[in-house]
Amino acid sequence: MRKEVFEQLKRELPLIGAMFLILLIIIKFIFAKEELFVVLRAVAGIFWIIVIPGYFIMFYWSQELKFFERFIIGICAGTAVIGLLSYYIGLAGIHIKYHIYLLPVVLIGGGIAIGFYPKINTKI
Amino acid sequence: MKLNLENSIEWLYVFLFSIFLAYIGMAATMNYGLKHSFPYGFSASDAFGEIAYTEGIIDSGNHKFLPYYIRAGFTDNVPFHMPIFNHIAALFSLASGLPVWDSLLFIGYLFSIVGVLVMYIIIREFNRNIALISLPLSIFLYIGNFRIVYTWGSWDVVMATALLLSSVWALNKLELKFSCVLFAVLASGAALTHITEAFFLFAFTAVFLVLKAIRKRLELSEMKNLILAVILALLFSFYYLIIFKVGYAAGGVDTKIAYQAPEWFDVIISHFGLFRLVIFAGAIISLLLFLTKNYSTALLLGLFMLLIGYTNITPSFAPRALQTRYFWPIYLSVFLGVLVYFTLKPLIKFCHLRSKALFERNWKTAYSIFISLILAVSITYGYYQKSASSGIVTEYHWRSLLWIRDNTPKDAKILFFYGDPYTQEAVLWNQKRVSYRISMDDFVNAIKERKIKREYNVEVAAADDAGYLYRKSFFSFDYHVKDMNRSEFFGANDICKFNYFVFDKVSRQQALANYNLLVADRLLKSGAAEPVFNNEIVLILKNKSPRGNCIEEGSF
Repeated sequence: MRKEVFEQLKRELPLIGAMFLILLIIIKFIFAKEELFVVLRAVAGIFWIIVIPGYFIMFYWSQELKFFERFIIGICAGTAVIGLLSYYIGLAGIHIKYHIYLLPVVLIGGGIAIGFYPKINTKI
Repeated sequence: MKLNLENSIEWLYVFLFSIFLAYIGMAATMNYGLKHSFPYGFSASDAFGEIAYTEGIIDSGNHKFLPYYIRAGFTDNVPFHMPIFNHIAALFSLASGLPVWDSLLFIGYLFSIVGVLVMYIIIREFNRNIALISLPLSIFLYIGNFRIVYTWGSWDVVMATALLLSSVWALNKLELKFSCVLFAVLASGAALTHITEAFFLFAFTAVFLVLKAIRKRLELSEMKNLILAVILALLFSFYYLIIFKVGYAAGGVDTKIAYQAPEWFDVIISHFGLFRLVIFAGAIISLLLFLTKNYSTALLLGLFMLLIGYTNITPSFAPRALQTRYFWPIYLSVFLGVLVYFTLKPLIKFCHLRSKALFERNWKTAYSIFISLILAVSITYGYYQKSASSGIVTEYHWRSLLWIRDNTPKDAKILFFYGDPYTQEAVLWNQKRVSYRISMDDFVNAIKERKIKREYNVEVAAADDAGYLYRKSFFSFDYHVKDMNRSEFFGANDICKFNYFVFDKVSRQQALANYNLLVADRLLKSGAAEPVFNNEIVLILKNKSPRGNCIEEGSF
C-alpha cells in the first residue's frame, strides 16, 4: 500500500511540476508587459498557497478519483481549508504573515501522512 | 494515473481554453500586467472596500476587528463580512509580492476559471462530449454586464460560486470514505466566503435528495454521511455564523411578494444574444431528459440555477437572485452542450453507419473539441469586446491617498471636498484615516449661492452596515449606532475642526473643482492652513490650528 502511494506521488508530482512550468510560460505570454520574476512569484504563490495544499488534501482519495478531478477540486478544497484555518488561527493570535509558511507546510505534511493511512475499505 | 490519447487531447484542450479565458478576462482587464502602482481597473466603491478590508487583515494579522478608519473611528467593531476571500487574497499578496489590489483582481478572475473547470467536471460525469461543447458559453463571463462582477469588486461571490460548484460535485461522491469531511469543508468554505451560495447549496441539496429518494437511489449510508457533513460544516462555521446572525441578518428578511426589476447593471437573459434561444431550447431538452429518467446532477444544477435567477420576487432575496445571473455563463453552459450534442447525435450516428473507419471512438472527442472551438470563436467574434479601463481612481489620486497614509497622525481627521472618485465612498478608506466628505447637495447649493462657508454639511466616509456592531462577550453583541453622537459624523459641521483638507483641482465638472480652489485659496489666505501635498490633480492643506478660526466666510 505504502509503495503504491509512493509510486503515485512519483508519477503525479512531475506532472504538477510540468503544469507549473507550462503555466509560468503561458502566463508570462499573456501578461506580456510583466517582468518574468513578478510572474514567477505570482504563479509560485498560487501553487504554494492553494494548488499544492489542495492536491495533498485530495490525495487521500487518489485511488478512487482521477488526477485532473482531484487537481481541480483540490483548488477549491485548498482554498476552503486554508481560508478557514487562516481565519481561525488568526483569531487565535498567530499573525497572518506566518500563515503563508505554516499552513501549506501543515497541509502538505498532513496530506502525505493521511495518504499513507491504510484504507481497508474505500466506501463508508 | 492513466492518460490515454483521448484524455490527453481532452485535458490539453480544457487547459488551453482556461488560458484563453485568462487572456480575455484577467489579462485584458489588468492591461497585460500583473503589478500596478494603483488599483488598475477598479470601477466601484465595493472594489476599493475590499482593498481596505484585506489590508486591514494584513496590518492587524487577523480578522478580529474592522480597521477603525472604515468604522468612523470605532476600534472594537466586529468584522461581519465573510472572511475567506479576503484571507486568501491577503495570503496571496504576501506570498506573491503583488499589491493587495492586484491580488484581489487576480484571485477574483482565477476563481471564475476554477468555477468553469468544476462545472466542466460536473457535466463530464454526465457526458464528456456535452462537457466539451458546453465550455464556450463561459466566455460570456467577460462580456457586457457579466463582467461587472470583476471590476466592481464582487470577487467573494466568484470564489463562493466555485466553492458551491465543488460542493455540488462532492454531493455526488458521498459514497467515498470520509467524503463527509470534504463536503463539510467545501460547504463551510462557501458559507464563509459568501453566505448566499451556502443557502443555494442547502436548497439544492434538499432537491437533490428528494429526487434521489423518489428514484429509490438514496442509501442510508449516504444519508448518514450527509448528516455528519452538515454537523461538521456547522461546527467549522459556527464562530462566524453567530456574527452573521447579529450582523447582516439582524435586519430580518422581507418576504412579501413584490417583483424587483433588474437594474441597468444587472444581467437579463437577452445579454446572451442569440444564445438565449440556445439556452432555452437546451433547458427544455434537459427537462425532457429528466422526465425520461436521464438523471444528471449537471442538468439539475443548470435548471435549478436558472430558476434561482428568476426568484427576484421578494425585496430581500431579489439582489441575491440577480447576482446569481452573473454566473449563468457557468451554470447554464450545460444547456448549450445538451442542445448541440442531442441535435447532432442522430447525424453522427448516421455518419457512423456509413463510414465506421472515419467515426471511431477517438474521433468523437476531437469532434466535440472542434464544435467547441467553432462555438468559442463565434461567441468571441460575435459578442466579446475588450473594454479595459484604468478605473475610477487615477494614479495622482492614489499617490495623494498614500501620502496621507504615510504622513499624517493615525487620529487625523481628513475632510475631502468634491472629487470625481470620492463619490465612491470606499475609495476614502484606503488612506487609513477617518475621513469625511462634504455633502454634494450642500456643496452645489454653496456654489449656486456663491458663498464660501465655514460650516458645511458633512458625512463620515464609513461602512455603517450592521450598526457599528461590537462584541460585549462571546454571545453578546451591541451596536454603537445606538449611542453615537451623530451630529459629529453627519450634518452641519465646522470645517475648522478637521486636521487636513483635500481638494481636487481637476474634475469632469470643472465648476466644482474651481469652487474647491476658491475654498483652498481662502484657507491659505487666512494663514491657518498650509499646503503639504500638491500634484497635478490633488492639493492637500494642513490645518495648523484645528478648532481655530481657519476661514473667513464670504461670497465670490
